[in-house]
Formats: sequence, C-alpha cells, structure tokens
Amino acid sequence: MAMKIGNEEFFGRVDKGLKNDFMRNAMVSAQERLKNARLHAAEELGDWEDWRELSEEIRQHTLENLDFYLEQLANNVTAKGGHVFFAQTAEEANEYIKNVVKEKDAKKIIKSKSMVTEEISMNEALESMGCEVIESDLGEYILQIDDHDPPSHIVAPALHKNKEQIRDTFEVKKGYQHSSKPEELALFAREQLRQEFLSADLGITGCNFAVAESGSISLVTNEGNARLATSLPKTQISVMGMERIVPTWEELEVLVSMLCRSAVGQKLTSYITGLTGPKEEEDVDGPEEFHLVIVDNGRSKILGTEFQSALQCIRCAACINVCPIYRHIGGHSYGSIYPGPIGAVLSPLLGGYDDYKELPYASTLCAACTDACPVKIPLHELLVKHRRNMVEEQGKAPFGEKLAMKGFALAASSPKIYNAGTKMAPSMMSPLVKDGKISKGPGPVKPWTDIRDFPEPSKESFRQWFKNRDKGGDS
Amino acid sequence: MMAKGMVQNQEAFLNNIASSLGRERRTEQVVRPTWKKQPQYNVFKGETQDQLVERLKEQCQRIHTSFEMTSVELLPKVLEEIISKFDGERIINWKDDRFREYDLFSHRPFVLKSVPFSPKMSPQIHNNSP
Repeated sequence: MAMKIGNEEFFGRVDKGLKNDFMRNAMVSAQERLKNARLHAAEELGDWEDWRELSEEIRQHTLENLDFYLEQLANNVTAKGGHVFFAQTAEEANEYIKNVVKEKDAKKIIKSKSMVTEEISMNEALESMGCEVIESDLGEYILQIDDHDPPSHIVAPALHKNKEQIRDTFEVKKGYQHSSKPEELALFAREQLRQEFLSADLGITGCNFAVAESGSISLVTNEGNARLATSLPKTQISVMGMERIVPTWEELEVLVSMLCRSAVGQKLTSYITGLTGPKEEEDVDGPEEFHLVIVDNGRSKILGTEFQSALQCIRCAACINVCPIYRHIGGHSYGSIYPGPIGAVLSPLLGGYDDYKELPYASTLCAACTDACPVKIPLHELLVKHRRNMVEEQGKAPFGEKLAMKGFALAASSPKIYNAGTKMAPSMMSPLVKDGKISKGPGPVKPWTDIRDFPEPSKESFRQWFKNRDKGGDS
Repeated sequence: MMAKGMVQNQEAFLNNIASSLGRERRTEQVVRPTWKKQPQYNVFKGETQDQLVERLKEQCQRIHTSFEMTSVELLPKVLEEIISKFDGERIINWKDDRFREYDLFSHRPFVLKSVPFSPKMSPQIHNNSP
C-alpha cells in the first residue's frame, strides 16, 4: 500500500466518512478511551510538561545532528556484522529489499507493523516478484486478509471495524467457525499466524527508534509479533525512516516512555525489544543475517525548512486521538496512511500538494493536537504555514477563490466601493432571505448553507450602528 | 570475531542531509547537551529496594506478566513449578552464567521446541518467599 489511499476526491471521501455511523461511533469511543488513558498516564508520571520539553529537546538535537548520528549508527551496525543500505527514494529501498529476498530465495515473508514500509509500497514490490507477504500485527493482519482494506489509524489500523465484521472476514477468508468473541478471534489469528512465523523465510520489521551508540533497533509492540518475526527467520530486514533515531539508550528510555504513554496510556507496552545486529556465535536464536534500510523518501527536503519540527514525530497518534475533525470524518477521509493532524502536516510534505492540498484545511486550528503532542510539534501552526504556502507561494488556491480574494482586496481598499457594497448587500441578498436567514446560498456560499444557515445581512453597517449608538439610537 | 557488514550509499545520503541543514557534514563526535529538563531522575527517587520491588510487581500485573518472588534456595523448585504449569517438557534458555550459578536447568536439555500458545498463560502473582 502506498502512502496515498484510493483515488476518490477529498470531499467524496469525507461524505462517505460522515455517513458511516458505525465508523464515527467507533472513532468517538476509541478517541475517548485513548485520550483518557494518555491523560491518566501523564498525571501518574508527573512533571508531564518537563517530560515534553525533554523529549522535544532530544528530538531537535538529534535532527540537527542527524548526519552524525546516522553515520554512528551505520558504523555500529556494520561492526556487529549487519548490513546498512541508505535509500534516497522508495524505489531504491524496494530494489535493495527485493535483491536481498531474491538472494535468499525467500518466498514467504513475515512482517511486523511498519508505517514506512507502507509508505514505500514495499509489500506490493515484493508481491510483484511472487512473494507472499504476511502482516503479523493483528490489526494489519485483519486488514490484509480483508482484501487490503486501508488502515484508519496509525496505532490501531483496524479501528473502523467491529468484532462482527472481523468474524465475517475470518470466516470468508480463513474458514473460521467460531463466535465473534474477541478472545476467540484473537486465538484463531494467533494459531494462523504461528504457522506463518514458523514457515517464513525472511522477517521484515519497521523501527520505532534506532540507537546510534550501539547500532541497535528498538521495536514497541503489545503482541510479541515483532520478536517472532526477528527470532525465527534466518534473515531479517528492518526498515526505518531516517529520522527515527536517538543518540543513546538514555534518550531511548525517555522517548519510549513517552511513546507508550501517549499512544495507549501504558507505562510500557508488553514488548519493548532492542536488537543489535545478527545472531552471534553463542546466541540461541536470532537471524543469521541482518539488513537495515534507512529511508529518506522526501524527508531531507523537510530538514532545514519551517516544517522541520514535523520530523520530531514519534508516531504515537496522540494528536489523532484528540482531533475533532478526525472524530467526525475518520481516518480514510484523509486519503493517506498518515491521517489526523500529523497526517495533514506530513502527507503534503512527503506526497506533495497536488494530492493532499485539502488536508491542511481539514482542521479547526483548535490546537488540541499541539497540546497533546509529546514532542511538542506545533501542529496547528504548521497547518497554517501549509495554507500560506499553498496560497501565497505556490498559487494553489482555486480560481474562484483567487478571484473572490482579488475582488475583496479591491473593495476593501477603496472606501467608496466598500461602502457601496455594504449598502447593496441587503437588497442583493433579499431574494434569498427567508425568515431572517439564507438556507440556500448561491456559488461560494453554497457549501456553507448546505450544512448551516447564513444570517441575513444587516441593513445597518457597523459604522452606522456605532454612529447611532453615540447619538443614543436604538442599537 | 564477527565479520564486518557492508554499508551502501552512505556518503551521498549523509551529504544531502548536511546540505539540507545548511552546513558541512558533521563527522566529529557530537557532544550531547545537558538537557534543560531532566524529570527522568525524579521518578521513584529515594525509594527503597522493597518499594521498587512493589513497583515491579504492580507493573508486571499491568502487562500481563506473572510475578514470582522467592529465595535463591527455592528458585529451582519455583521455576520447575512454573514450567510444569505450562506443560513445558522442554525449554529454551539464553546463555547466562547465572543459570549455572543458581543450579537451574542442570537436569534439563537445552532444546528448542515450538509450543502452541496456551490460553492458560494468564497473569498471576505468587509470593514464594520463605
């Protein structure tokens, strides 16, 4: 799956989301649950704002010195016998991974959850060469067997499905014959996946954070699937976005603490795994060969710009869990594997304004996302910067909007035209007014009146009102 | 001695990053700053070992991990009981000198065996201290 989900236009996707009552209820309940869990975890930890400042400082320092830390990481990985490939583009990353798979004659690949592999369409690349790629994260597994249904949340990708829908999918695709009880569903998936783990030729993981000082990668899961994907197959490939790195284990401890608490309200997830290179002589298990693929894919173009802070993201989805827009339209409406506020910032940066020009406007700018972010990314400010960029620097505003703004600028800069306009407005709009409001507006007013009434223009301008007020008028 | 691995495309990739950051490549050791805020050192500050054990026990429950507390003398017996609870006929263990030091597994072969998941694996707290 590439970063872009489907080809439907933004407003079509939003309409679908708004009409999907089940999905919207699921979003409300999940947002409440995850948000409250995060708040509870933050309160329990104490000094939350200090933790946020520390996390922000760690991420900023790492990004400012990214070339040094990546080189240190590569040196330490190779010293341990692992191989490192720096991929400038998705194509380069996929080509390298395909070559390793081909060299190992691997047919079945077991994978743990990884956003960057989705971003670069790695599964499709491997499937095109005849490989079977199996997602082992439960949520991703459900989506994969359900004809590759797209994820709707970074942390909980199958959030939009209920247990009955999952049961039906298991029955149709895997011959499941039991109830929709979550325990039975999970046990069935576990049994299915266990066989896949044991028969896989190669394991692929993402990387929550790499540790430069030791050449390690860390994986954060609640299911233990990443451990099996990295213990059983003889070859392991880990793919990381180039910014997902910390200098030392001390910073890892801080950021993992923040990730677990901000994502799901846990002090720690059930499995926090640190892996360093391939299996050594005295190790009982682990891969015989280890490859680390470090992916740029547009990230270096964000460095050094006003959007650099977006790369501080640790993919916890705390911003998603508080966003009122996400709550109403759901994850699929964003048309990107990165939904919610961070998706609205990142998707246009990685995928371009042509595909994601609407996303920066899919926000009320209430700043709940900024307040929730554990690494203090000023998300709502970045959304405003996107809007300014598109309009002022890239000229991406629609023709009608440009014309309207030019007209307004002309009128607003000339007192005569402005006064004439305010005087004419009530009489021009009067045919549309009914009971003191406009319910069916024309042209650019239509999207507004489709969902709410527009007030009738007042016959008295502000200046007139102010004048009358001074004279003791009835205003 | 482990053979050194290969690295590919590093120079162009890292030069590009340095260029985006508007400076030359940084190859000298970067010194981590003293972080302005360091709340991590206040967590459980001043707590005794017993208090920390209680913290561990509580956290184990939260992450569905069984917690057993015992003495060195009873350790082999307690471990045997836990393994039996999961019908563990054969086990796999990491190489660690402490296993020998505590006389664990001395009568067991070190064999890898795949065991299907058992729903019996629910978190439990036991205290086998004498």
